[in-house]
Amino acid sequence: MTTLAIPRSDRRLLVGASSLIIGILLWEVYARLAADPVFIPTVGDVSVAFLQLLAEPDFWSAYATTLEPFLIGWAAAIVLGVTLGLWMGRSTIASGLSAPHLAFLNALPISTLVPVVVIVAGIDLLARSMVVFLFAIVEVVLTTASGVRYIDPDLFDMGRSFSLKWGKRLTRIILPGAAAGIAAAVRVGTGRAVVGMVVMELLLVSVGVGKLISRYRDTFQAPRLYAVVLSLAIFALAVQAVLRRLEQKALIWRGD
Amino acid sequence: MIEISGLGMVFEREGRPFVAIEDVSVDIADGEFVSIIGPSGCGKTTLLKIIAGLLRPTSGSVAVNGEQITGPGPERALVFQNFVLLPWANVLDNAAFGLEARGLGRDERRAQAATQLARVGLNGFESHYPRELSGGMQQRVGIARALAVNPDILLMDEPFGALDALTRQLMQKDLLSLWQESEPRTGVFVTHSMDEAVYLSDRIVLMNTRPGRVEETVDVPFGRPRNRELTAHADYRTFANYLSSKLETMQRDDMSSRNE
Repeated sequence: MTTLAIPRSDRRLLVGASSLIIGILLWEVYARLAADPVFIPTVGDVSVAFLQLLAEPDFWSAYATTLEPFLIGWAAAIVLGVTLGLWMGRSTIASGLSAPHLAFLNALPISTLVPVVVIVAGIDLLARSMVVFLFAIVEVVLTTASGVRYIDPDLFDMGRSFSLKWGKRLTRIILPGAAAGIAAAVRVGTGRAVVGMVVMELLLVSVGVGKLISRYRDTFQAPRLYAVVLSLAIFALAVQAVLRRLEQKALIWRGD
Repeated sequence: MIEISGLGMVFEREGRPFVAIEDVSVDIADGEFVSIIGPSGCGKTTLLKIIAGLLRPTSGSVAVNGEQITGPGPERALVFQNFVLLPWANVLDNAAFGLEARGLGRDERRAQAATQLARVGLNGFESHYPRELSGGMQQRVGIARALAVNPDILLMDEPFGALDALTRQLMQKDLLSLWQESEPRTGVFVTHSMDEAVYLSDRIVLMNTRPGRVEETVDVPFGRPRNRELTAHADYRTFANYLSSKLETMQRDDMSSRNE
C-alpha cells in the first residue's frame, strides 16, 4: 500500500494541503457561478490584486505605520505582562492585588476602552500603542501566572535546602519551569495584539493597513480588499510560526 | 551533633489545629547513622524537614553543633523522596546545583559534581536529562547533588520509597558501601522499611502516631563494615522481625483507634 509508506507527519501535511486547496476551489466555484464579483471576487482577481499591492510603496508604508504601534504595544505587553505574571504566580499578595483589576479587564470587551484611550492619549502613536498593549496584557499576565503555578513546588523546597538566592531561583527554577507558560503567553498575547492593532485602525483612527481596508471597502475594490485581508492573515501566520519555532527551542529539554 | 529537644509542630488542617509531632527529643552523635521509622502520619517527614530547616517548629528547638538552627545551612543537605531534579538541566548540572546555589564557579562545581557522579556510579551519564534515566539513576543524581556540597549531615527523606524492590535493594547496598568508604558524616534516614533501617543504621528511632512522637529508640547491635551477608544472618533476622512486629502492632493500634 502506497499510503502506508508515507510517514504520519507527512500524511497530516498532505491532508492539510488538500483541505486548503479544496477550500480555495470552493471559493473559486462560488465566485464564478453564484456571487456578484463586486462582493466576492475570484481567486485569480485577488491574487493579481495581491501581487499588485506588493509592488506599491503605499502598501508597504501602510504596514510600516501599522507595525510601529504594534511593536511598541506588543513589546510592552510582553515585558510587563510576563514580569507581572511571574510575580503573581509566586506571590499571593501580588495575585490578590492584581486579581480585581485583571478580572475587570478580562470581563470588559477591550474595544470599549478605545474611546477612553483616545480621550486620555489622543490618536497618535502613543494612543495606538496603548490599545495594542491593552488588548494583549491580560492574557499575557494570566497565562504566565498559571505557567508559574504549574512548577513543581518541591523544586522550591530543594532550592531552599541549598540556600538558593532569589536571582538564581528566578533564572534556574522559575523561568525554565514557566517557559512553556511564557511561550504560550507570548503566543496568545501576540494574537490579541494583532486584533488590537486592526481594531484600532478600523474603529477609530484610519491609518496604516486599517486605512487601506477602509479605502478599498468604500471604493468597492473587492479584490484589493481581499488581498489586504489576506496579507494580514499571512502576517499573523508568519509571526505565529516564528514564535512556535522559538518555543520549540526554549523547550528542547522536554524532548517532545 | 544534632540535639532535638521538645520539638512540636502544629499545622492547621481544615481550619482545626493538627498536631503533627509533639515533644520529640533525640540526640544524634557525629558520624552516627540514624533511621526514623513509623506508621504513616507519625510525623517523620515533618521531623526531617524541621531538621533540614525547611519547616519552622511551633515549639522546641533543633541545635546543630551547639547552635540553634533557623533555616537551611551549609552543613546539611537533603535527599528527596521524589528526587526533585531540574528537568531542564542535564545530570551534571543537576549534581552541581547545590554548589551553584552556594556560588561556586562553573568549572569548579562541574568538576566536583563529576567526581560525585562517579562515586554513585553515573559515569558517562553527565549530559543525559533526568527523563532519560530510571528512578534509581535519578535518585543517584539526587544523592550526588547532596554529597557534592560535602555536608556534615546528610538528611534523607524516604529516598528509596519511590523505587521498585530490586532497585531499592541495590541502592541500599550502594549507599551502605558509599557510607562506609567515605569520610565520616552523620546520616538521618526516614523510611517505611524496617529491613532497610536495620541494614543501614546504627540506631533506629521508632515513632508513633497521633500525636507524632518518639515511641522508642533502639541501638542496632551490628558492627561495621557491613555487607549483604548480614541480612542472611539469624541474629539480623530475629532483630529485624522483632522490630517489624513492633511496628506492625503500632500500625494496628493506630487503625483500630481511628475506628473508635
